[in-house]
Amino acid sequence: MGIVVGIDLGTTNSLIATLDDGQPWVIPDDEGDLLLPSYVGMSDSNQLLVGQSAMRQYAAAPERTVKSIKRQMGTDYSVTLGDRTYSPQEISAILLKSLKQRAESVLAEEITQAVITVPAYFTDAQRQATKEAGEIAGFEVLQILNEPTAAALVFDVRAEEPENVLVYDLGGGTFDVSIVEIAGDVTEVLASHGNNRLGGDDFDRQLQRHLADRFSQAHDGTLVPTDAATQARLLQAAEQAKMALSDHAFTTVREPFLVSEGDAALHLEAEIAREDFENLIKPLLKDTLEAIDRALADADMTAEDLDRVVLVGGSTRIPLVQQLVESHLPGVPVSSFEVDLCVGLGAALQAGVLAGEAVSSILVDVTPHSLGIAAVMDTPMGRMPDMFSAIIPRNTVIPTSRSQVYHTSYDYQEAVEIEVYQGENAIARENVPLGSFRVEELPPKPGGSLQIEVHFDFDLNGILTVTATEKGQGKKNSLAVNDTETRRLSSHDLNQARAAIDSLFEAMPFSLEDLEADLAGESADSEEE
Amino acid sequence: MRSVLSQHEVIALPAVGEPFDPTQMHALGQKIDDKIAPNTVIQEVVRGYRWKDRILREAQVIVAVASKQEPNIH
Amino acid sequence: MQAHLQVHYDRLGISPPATPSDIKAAYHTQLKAFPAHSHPIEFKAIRAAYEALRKAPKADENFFDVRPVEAKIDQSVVKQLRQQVSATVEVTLEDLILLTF
Repeated sequence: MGIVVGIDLGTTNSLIATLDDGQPWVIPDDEGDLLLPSYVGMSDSNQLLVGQSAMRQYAAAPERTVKSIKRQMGTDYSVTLGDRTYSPQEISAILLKSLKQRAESVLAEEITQAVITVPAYFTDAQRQATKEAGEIAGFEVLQILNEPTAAALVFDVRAEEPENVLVYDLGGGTFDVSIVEIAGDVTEVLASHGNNRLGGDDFDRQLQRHLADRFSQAHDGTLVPTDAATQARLLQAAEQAKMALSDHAFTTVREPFLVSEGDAALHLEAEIAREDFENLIKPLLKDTLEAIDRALADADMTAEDLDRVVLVGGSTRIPLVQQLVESHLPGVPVSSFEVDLCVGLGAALQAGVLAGEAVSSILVDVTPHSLGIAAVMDTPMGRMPDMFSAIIPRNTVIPTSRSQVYHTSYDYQEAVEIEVYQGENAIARENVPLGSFRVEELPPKPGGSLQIEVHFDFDLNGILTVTATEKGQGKKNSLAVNDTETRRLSSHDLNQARAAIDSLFEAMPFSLEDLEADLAGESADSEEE
Repeated sequence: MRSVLSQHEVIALPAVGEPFDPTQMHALGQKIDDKIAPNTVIQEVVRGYRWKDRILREAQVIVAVASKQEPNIH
Repeated sequence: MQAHLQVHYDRLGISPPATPSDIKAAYHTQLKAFPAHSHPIEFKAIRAAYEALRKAPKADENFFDVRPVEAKIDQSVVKQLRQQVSATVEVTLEDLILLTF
């Protein structure tokens, strides 16, 4: 049996972990760093840069550096680096492949099987894109695992009584809250909620705008130029100030030569108080508290039912986050453990379970979004078409199969169109469309007399198979839904993408052998960051 | 101070006039300058150091770019 | 005890009457024998049994019983509304409340 790995593919940082005797550990790079900054770039001489080196060139060359690609997963966004255009899957695949190489050089063995984590609140399309990224990078993706669930797997609860744990996961770009019951080695997710577009990146941007304001106040209204490079520099300054403010009540931002006006150079120098920063981000954090309430309601719980709160994700280092969560859930102990690492460690544990290693944990997870179809429904405003009829309600345990019987709506209806959506809005179109298909050649019958059974089958990897069957004659059609807009890559496309990315890596200045040579006799000695 | 460092084989990284090297420099920003080859370091804001073949601290630099460049920020 | 629950007790390998903690313990034992990733079909049955038994004492407010699937069709209205219609269901009280905002 080969070695399996767990990968936390993060907005800001990524990491790869594996198991040693059932114990997960994070594999460092040759410098001893555990985290790979989630940056991909092309150098001036068209060399691929991944991680730290790409991050270093970001302010000099934002036009050939990609960051926070996770936010674009599942969209048709594309980015040009060098002479090729890349999809979000491909950029993510570059990060994954770099992690794969790191692990292979440390473990001196080829690695093919991986569990990759995603935010619990990721949609189907986002999960599918992540799985594709893994495949392009040359992995067999054992499972796409929810991040807060992965984190929960790391907590070894040895108490007799089951514990109800709320995992609050605020990362670089996404927010999740999951309520988990941990009973011995069974970890069961009761409810998940979140926001796929809320995280440290947003706090950076708020602070970036604030810094730009401070600059123009200090320089008689001179505006910070809007060009990418200056803004990138300001954004990095904001990120550093944010991190400093987690440990200090004040920090000074110094950006010499930020703007040049003729021969004169204008500097940015501003003292930022933690309170200033907190005021900027408080409205965003309020949303996370509402998400806590909704998850509690979905789990049929109140704050009193919680035994503890666990904070996960780099953004939970912000003291205000902890304060707000504590005051929102009075009396519930709040703790954190390896906020950057525990998602990856949990992914490695789950990879071990799936590969049949002797790890005796059992995981039960839920789907955070409702799944259903567009249907005609009676409403107080009369009979309305295109209403959303949920077949698998949110927070249903997966895998699951559910059916619902519908009726034709007019006489001699020849076909029914099954439009599949994911979301919580009562209007079908306000939700995320997952695909549609028709069942045709229905027998001619009066409206309402033909029964159509719609069957949803949702597997552990978030693959939804919808089957619609006309119950009289058994006319049937089905659809394996991933997403129609960002359609799953054909194996041909997949191979092409893989070849393109392989060739980028082959052109990199150092080879695997060099890495191995560097690593000889060196151990993981440094902390994250 | 510099000599103490060099006794311990700690060497300042060359920066100004060198091409930008993402393996040992961190870009703080870019500056339009048509007289200098693009991607050349024109200013060192924080000096970088190397000990043997390891980077102790990367140099923080500003890099020249050609004018009329309008990249998009993501 | 309702007869239709017997199949669920059998699935979890226990017999009525069982306390909630008995039910949960039996559920966990079955989960370990039939993990979702390797035994999806058994897992679904175990889960269905657990959900049915867990909710059994308050069966009259069972979430799954609320939603009737039968619907009466007013053809003239439907025709006006849509030519190519997918399906019809009667909405539940909960849906009605939701829809009225």
